[in-house]
Amino acid sequence: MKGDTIVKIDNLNVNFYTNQRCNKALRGVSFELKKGSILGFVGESGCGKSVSANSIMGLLPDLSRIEEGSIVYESESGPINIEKLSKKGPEMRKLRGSEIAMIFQDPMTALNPVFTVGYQLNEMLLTHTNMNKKEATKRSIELLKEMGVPAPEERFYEYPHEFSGGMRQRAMIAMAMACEPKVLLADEPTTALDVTIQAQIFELMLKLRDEKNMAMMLITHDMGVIAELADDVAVMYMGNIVESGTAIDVLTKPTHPYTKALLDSIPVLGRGKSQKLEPIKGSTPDPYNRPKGCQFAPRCEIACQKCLESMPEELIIEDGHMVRCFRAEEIFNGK
Amino acid sequence: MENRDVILSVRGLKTYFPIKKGVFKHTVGYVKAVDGVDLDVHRGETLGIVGESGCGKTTLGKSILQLVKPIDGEVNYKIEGEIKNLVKLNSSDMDEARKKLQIVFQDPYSSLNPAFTIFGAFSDPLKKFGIKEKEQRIKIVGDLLEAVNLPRDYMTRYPNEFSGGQRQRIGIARALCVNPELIVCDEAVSALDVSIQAQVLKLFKSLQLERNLTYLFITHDLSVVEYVADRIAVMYLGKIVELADTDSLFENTIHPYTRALLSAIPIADIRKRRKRIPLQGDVPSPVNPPSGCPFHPRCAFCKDICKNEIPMLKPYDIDGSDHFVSCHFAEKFMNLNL
Repeated sequence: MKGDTIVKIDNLNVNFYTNQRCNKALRGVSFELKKGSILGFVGESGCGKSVSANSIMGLLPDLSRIEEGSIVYESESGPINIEKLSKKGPEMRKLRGSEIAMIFQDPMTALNPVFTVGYQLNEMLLTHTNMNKKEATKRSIELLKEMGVPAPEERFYEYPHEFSGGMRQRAMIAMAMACEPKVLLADEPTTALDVTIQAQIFELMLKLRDEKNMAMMLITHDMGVIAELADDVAVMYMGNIVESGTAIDVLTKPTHPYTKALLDSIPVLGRGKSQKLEPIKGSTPDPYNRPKGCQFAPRCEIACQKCLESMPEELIIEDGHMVRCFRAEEIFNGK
Repeated sequence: MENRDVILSVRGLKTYFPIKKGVFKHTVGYVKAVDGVDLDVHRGETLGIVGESGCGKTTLGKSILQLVKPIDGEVNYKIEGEIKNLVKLNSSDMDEARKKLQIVFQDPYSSLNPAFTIFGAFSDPLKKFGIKEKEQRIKIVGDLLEAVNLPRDYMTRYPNEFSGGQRQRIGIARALCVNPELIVCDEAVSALDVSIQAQVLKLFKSLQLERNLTYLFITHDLSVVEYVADRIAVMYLGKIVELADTDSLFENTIHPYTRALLSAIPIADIRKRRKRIPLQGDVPSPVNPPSGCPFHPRCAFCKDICKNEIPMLKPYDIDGSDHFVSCHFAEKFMNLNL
């Protein structure tokens, strides 16, 4: 059913260990992916958006570890705790691609240049379904056609370098869709593309959400993409979700100072030259040398002593709208 | 409009790149990156050039600076009251002209030499343009760093010690070090995070006021260009399809391509969700551009004339300002708007 939770992430902590140092990439992240809805993740580079997606897919690098928390996937045969599965084990491999699929940012590096696009599409179907090669080829061509790749019968036998950027991304989406997954994780799916091609990909993603009742996680750094596509939003900063809620709530009533600052720093089309841009002062802190309290406190205009000392807890400010800020109520009521 | 001081005028500029094949590397075709561009830039304005990747906007910027040699056309630039065609200049005269024309590159990571300190990187152009004493150079570099809001003593550091936004500001300072009049900003803010992007955009604006600079602002991001530019030129397949004042372009959009482009941009304002005009297919290859209007295979209003005749860039008078469009049906679209 639409709206049912399919992936539930609770208090996820992920650490990266490099050069005898420890980067706490995720520090207690909780969210839910729901059927037929798109959850958008925004934040600057290095805030942990991609790490969240990669931990669901079991694609974290070797030098990292899930320290705490759970990732529960509601499969048809009951809940599965993904964090307990071995990354390269048979259960994870069975899940990855068939139940949960991912679209990567850069289609040129995600596709293998020495195999034809068709071969790579077939590989997916041959591994996860009982199809034989002939059936798989037929299905792959259908998939390419569904994704709007022109002349799919010929394109099937071409190599990734013969595809244009937009078409490669379509091939990637076709590949992710091959086994009709229940959950789709899209990591900056359109960042490398032009706006007109991006609009085509958006139409495609919205169609998939509605027709296949798919749960999607959309990672982006572009507030515009969120406003256009997402049903719910989570704003991340330095490994925490600082604000989350429905897209309308978060974008029209931003309550965390970071969300507000982020929205004030981007030029919005249609507001002309007179709009005021307010850059966020300072830069993101070094992940190895984090501030003690609220991560945003050193850049925050309204930080108080309490903010410098401890990390604020999650606070529900109105139905379904969560903020992590000591002064959230003041800001929320101040308007 | 007529009496404004035209600093740069481009006429019929064409830049083709040969495609070579076979053992003997004979030319089998040309990539028509810039295919007949006419453009006037006024002193002190910011002209935005927008378009999708592969439409030739970067090549246009480089051709104006003669970093890529155009095969045909004129780039007339006014140096000390005298108009010179940069395409015809020999290399020593061109060096002289480069004092006035500078460029800021897209990628702040690859445009600074990692083996030089910031002072070292700034010294070469300063020496070339006649400032020999070291004390004087130190003073100039320090002033420039302050102009872009960086501390003076950063000049002894190496590029790897800086973040992306700082590097981009150093790139801007380097372009300023010979006191140019015109700066070509080639995707100067595209590689930066949003919060840093705002800092750099504000810097561009304040420097323009202080130094009366003229910018040619090349970008694919229309929200950015709307914020900085006075006029905007929209490029498609090596040609300018629409050129107008920023307000006029957004309010009285005429060319079907510009309309589709504007509708495709995600707006970070949820109350303004609007209908997208989806374009079919991809940008055609500039090796074999379509006959007639370059946009006709993707245009929803395509008629027979579009397939056969190339439309010219013609001025139309909208609310007293010139609005250039190259479309056979410009008048029809104009009336639709009003």
